[in-house]
Amino acid sequence: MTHVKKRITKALNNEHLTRAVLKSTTLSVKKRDHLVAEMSDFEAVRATAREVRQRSIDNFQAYSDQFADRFVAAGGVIHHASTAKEACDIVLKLLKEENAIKGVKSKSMVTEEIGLGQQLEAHGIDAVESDLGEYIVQLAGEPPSHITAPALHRSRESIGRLFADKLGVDYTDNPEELTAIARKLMRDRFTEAQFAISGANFMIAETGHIAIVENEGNVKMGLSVPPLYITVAGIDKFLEKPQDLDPIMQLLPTSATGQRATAYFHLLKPTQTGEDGPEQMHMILLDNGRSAAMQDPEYREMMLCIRCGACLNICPVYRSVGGHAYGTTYPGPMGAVLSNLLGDVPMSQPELPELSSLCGACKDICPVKIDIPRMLLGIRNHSEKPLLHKAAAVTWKVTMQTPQRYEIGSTLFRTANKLLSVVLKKNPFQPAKRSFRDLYKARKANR
Amino acid sequence: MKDKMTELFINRLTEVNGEYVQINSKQELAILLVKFLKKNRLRSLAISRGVFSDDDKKIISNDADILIDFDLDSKMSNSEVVDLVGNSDIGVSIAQALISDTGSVVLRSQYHGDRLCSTLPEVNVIIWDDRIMYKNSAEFYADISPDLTYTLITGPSRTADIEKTLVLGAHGPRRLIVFGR
Repeated sequence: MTHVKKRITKALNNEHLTRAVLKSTTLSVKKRDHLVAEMSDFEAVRATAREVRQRSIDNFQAYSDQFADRFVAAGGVIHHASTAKEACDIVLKLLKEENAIKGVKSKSMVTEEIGLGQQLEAHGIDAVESDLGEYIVQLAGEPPSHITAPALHRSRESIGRLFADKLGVDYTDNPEELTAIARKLMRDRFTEAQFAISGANFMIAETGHIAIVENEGNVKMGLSVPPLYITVAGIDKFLEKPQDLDPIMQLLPTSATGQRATAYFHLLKPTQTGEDGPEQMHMILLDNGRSAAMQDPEYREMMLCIRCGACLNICPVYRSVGGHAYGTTYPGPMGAVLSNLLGDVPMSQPELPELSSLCGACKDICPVKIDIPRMLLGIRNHSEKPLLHKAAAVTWKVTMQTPQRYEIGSTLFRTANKLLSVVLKKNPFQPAKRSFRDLYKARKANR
Repeated sequence: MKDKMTELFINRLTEVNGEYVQINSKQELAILLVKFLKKNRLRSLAISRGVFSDDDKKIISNDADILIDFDLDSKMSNSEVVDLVGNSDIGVSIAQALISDTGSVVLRSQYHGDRLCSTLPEVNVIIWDDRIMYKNSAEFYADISPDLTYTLITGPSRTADIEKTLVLGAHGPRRLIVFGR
């Protein structure tokens, strides 16, 4: 059994997980649908958002240069990282220079992608995840299972037990009480934090602003208290101008969580002395396969993604098994493609596109209309198949070409199965006792 | 009399658990704020720069403690500032503008303390005095200054990370109250 199959089996056998995932994804889709139904111009906004993102990836190099100029002119520092390792090394170097060993992180898929949490831990740096969902999975020693809702796979009971075990608090499964426990712990941590690390939703080339959405206020807290602020973001996240935010921000919170707007939307710039904000602001621009993907005619469409997670919420496979079954940072339909484009070795996850029924729901719900099924099929077609798989495909192709061949094939299959069942002393394939054609003929004769 | 854009703003704000208090004149602001403090049994405040006149502050000081006033030049260390704002019942901030169709408040994080006052206290009161109201976010985005840092706030801090159950006050304020004129 492959690793993916093992993880799927494990997920399907976990009743808590399957129930929690189904409940959360269903609710998110319902709330999203409700808001979309209110938008009379939804399709027009989608089309504009797609144009905006297309322009972004067509011009990413020029936007990157323009953004860097504005950001540096305002007093910030830009770093370029080609690989995950380079990005982690830059963060470690910055922290070392400031003797910073205690800090906070806010939810960021890019920092998950580069394995920053593990690197910080390995170097003795204590970086607490400040987003509640991320804090839960950090305590549990798990990766996030959803790109916008990291602890979606956990029931309130399992979170209650986790808090009781790891934090020594009395057991409660009340979300309000659990949130209050985390809030209190995090307050102390923010006060003593020497640094904050975040991701970014977008970067605005024309003005040098970093755009970050959040609901909890932990990013805001990280901007208010610690002196050093480090942002890590992919080079696919540039927008040309502030006006480009309009269609994107109409769709991102709506598609992600069914909210008209998130509680907080920050447009950040480095700050000068006496102004509000951290003393130092660093921006690490990460490639890690993105520039190649943005120039690949077959797969560049994936780089339009705005990371809303709607395709995860609607996918019948994700809804059944959750995110950990995929075994990659980015799960679900978008993850099955993106995980094959990012990193040092492209197409390193050929099994993931198999986790799809190709029903097309991901394409239908995607706010920027990414044709994910087309790319899933593309990766499937390019991936090396086992010999048995190839033999079965060739046999199927030959057999299905004429009704006669189908009939012969069907008879041979039944005969072979009977022989095998004698040899193996069990019936390996269990075909129906009579073929469909036999049944059809018999019924026709009886009329 | 509220116009249609203000009415829509209030509807959107209350949809996300924000609150709105109508003020009729600038003179009324301090008096209404004191009433609000008494009614909610709140006592201490942290005030962002440029929110109140000296006369307003005198009225407020009669009934409440202004723990930190960012109008005054402060020589305090960052940790003392964080401590004082964090111990305030209410943080008072000033809105640069409102956005009608999302119920959002536009805050500039320009001066030291602007962001802290709308982050650390349990209650964030935001004064909307300049009467700038954008119809929608598109109008705001077209008006962004490349030199400023902004935060749009739409309702109190919240999370739904545990089984999608909404909980207010995840890290930031549990209550967001806009005093609008």
